[in-house]
Amino acid sequence: MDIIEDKQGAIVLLGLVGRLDSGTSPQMEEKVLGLLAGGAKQLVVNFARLDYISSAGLRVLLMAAKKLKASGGVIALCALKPHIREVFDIAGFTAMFPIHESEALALRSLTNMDAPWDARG
Amino acid sequence: MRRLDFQSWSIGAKLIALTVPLIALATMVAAGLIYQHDVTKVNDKLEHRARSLQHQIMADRAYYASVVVPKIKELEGTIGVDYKEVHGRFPLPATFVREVSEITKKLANGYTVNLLSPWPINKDKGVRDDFHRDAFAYLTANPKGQFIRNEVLQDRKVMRYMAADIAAAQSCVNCHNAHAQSPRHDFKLNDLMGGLEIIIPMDQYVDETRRDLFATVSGGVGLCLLVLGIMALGTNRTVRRPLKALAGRMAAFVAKEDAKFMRPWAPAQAAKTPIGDEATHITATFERMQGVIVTQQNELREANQNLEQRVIERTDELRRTMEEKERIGSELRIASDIQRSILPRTFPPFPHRQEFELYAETIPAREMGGDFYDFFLIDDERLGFVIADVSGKGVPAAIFMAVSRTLVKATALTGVGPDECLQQVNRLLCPDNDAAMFVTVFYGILNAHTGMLEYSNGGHNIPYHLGRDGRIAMLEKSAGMALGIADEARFETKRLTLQHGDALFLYTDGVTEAMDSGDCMFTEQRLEEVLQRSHSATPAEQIHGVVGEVRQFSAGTAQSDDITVLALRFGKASGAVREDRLSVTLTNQLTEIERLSVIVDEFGGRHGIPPKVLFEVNMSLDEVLTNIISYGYADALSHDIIVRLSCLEGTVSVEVEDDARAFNPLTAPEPDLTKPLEERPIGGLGVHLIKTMMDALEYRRERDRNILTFRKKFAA
Repeated sequence: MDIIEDKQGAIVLLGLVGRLDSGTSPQMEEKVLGLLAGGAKQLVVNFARLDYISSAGLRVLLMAAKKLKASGGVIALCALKPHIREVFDIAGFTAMFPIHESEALALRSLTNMDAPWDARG
Repeated sequence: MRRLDFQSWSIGAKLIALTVPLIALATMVAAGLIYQHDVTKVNDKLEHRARSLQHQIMADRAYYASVVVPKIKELEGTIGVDYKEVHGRFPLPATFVREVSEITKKLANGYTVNLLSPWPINKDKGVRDDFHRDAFAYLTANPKGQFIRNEVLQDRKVMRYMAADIAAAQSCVNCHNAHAQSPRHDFKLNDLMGGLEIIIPMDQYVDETRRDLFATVSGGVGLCLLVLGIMALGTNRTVRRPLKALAGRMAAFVAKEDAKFMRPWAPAQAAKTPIGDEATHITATFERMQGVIVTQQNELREANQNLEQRVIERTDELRRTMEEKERIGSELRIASDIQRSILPRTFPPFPHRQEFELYAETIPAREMGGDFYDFFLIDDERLGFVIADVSGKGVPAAIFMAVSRTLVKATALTGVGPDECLQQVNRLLCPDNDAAMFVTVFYGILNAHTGMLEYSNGGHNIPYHLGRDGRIAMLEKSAGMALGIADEARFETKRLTLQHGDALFLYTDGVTEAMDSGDCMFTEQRLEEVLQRSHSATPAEQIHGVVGEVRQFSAGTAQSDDITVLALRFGKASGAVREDRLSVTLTNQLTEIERLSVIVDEFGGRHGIPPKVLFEVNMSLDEVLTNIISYGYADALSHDIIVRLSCLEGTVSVEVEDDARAFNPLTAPEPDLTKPLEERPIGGLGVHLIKTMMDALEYRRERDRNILTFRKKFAA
């Protein structure tokens, strides 16, 4: 899996490409932990190019969310493909993450912290 | 106490030498003091007596002189020295005293009294010796005193006592002055006229004091001897013997330990006996013992350090060995995985070809196997299939197996006939065969259109021909020995035409020679029975049957040889509605999951399964396989996981079979998503996903294997 990293101000953008499964989730975990250690507080993960996610991938995302929350940060997901989105629904993850249609919406929600995050839209 | 120097005497002797003289000295001093005291006491006593006597005598004389003499004079008597001869004459007072003294002198130990004077009337009553002279000299100066001296007179010890004779009465004075023979006539009252000497013999007193002294000294000597005796005995028992015993023990210890040493401890010193008493001896021995112990300690410390050093070295060695072992283990694992992946493990291998059905399986005895099977399409019509058995097991056989398989496939794909193929391979194997390994090979070519079977056998077990009517017979033998032995070996091709529904069963001797716990073999007979029972089954079913039987047969014993089977059916199984089945054997590596997903997608494409369903199927397989691979095995070895997909009437079914430890995912607790993230073995999350995505999920445990099945309907 490839992880494309970008920054917009204080917000870190991660674009996932390929599969987030038991084989590639360690890579994701390492990346996220590294960012947190570096003091990142705002994270946006872009799923536009992710074809597949397994429970191992879900776990990594959950871990990232918990850790960010503990340090007073936020995570937002965006551009999930339909069946990936369905996996999130089944796992009950949709309620736990702010999920946005596009990256732009995700960024907006983080810069404007007062605006409630848009789960469905 | 042989030597004269005090230092070498024994402790007892030393004690005696110190104590006894002390006692003796004390006794002497005591005796001396007592004697002194006695003598003084005697002298005092005698002096006292002499004084009493003096007073007595003086009183007597005074009375005589002052009372008797006047009375005599009254009666016209006279006083004179010749009183004995002359009638009416009476003794002088001095004579009176003298005469009385003469009487008493005769008594035993009686005292002598002398009245004498420097100016005697009677000439033999004058100063006779030094005592008198000294006494008078003294008394002249001290008329009230007494002059005492102890002397020896006539061999007898005496006390000589002299007191001044003072003219107490005027009559004495007058008489003396008037006397014609008196040298002086000028005496006055209270003048010193002479002296009274009392001589008291001291013999008995001296004897007594001497006896006392003797007694004291004897007593002292006796006491000394007694003390000496007691001490000698006492020290012998309480001091000498125990010390000697101690010294002896210590010396024995030293001698014994000395012998044990790697380096003898100062042996020269050991022989020397020190000068001194038992304590010195013990001290010396103790010092030797100390030396022994210190040396021992040093040696122990040294040995300990050596040991520690060795331990460190060994631990290091061990660690390196373990690391090496792990490295080899992991390389072996990789090699084993590679080997497994070399053989085709997806069935059906040619799904588009309906003319035949094919299934094969190999179970190595160790991580690496020496058996192999192979199949390939030579061209559009012909299917080549191989079964082979390399001599031996393990890594060497595996390497030879890889070489042989490659040669056979490469040669076969050129299209040559079976005998020619084996011949060529044999000629290639023989020359470079240093290890003198060989491989038995059966190679067959089936023409999928005509059913014509051509085969050649190189020393392998003859396969079975299963007729569609149920007959079982071995194929006709074909001359040929194992490959790799003889360069010039000859092979022949046999031919046979198969009918639709006929099947072939190929196997290696790991099947027929499988042993049970009683050392009995499976045998061809049993194999035939199993084949008979399953003659109408599909190749996969047949093989599962045989393998199952062999496993059950040899349960409890370690697998002794590689087990390999290949089943081929020409045409379809009679009657049965074909369920399209896909069987894929995976190795326990997470990377296999992605490879499987490609195969699943292909299968799905062939059967028109919608992408969403395929996604969910792949996801479910991902979950199941991840858990098996990550948590199912206690060892680090290669394991096979078989995944079977089938599609029937709009429903896709998936079966996962593994030999990992028993685990039923259905009994895993439901995930609590509000709980903090924990790594749980099956990840309740995974099962939750499968349960939600799939229509059904089942688990069963069969013959040491987990079999998990799930289904999804995708079309009406």
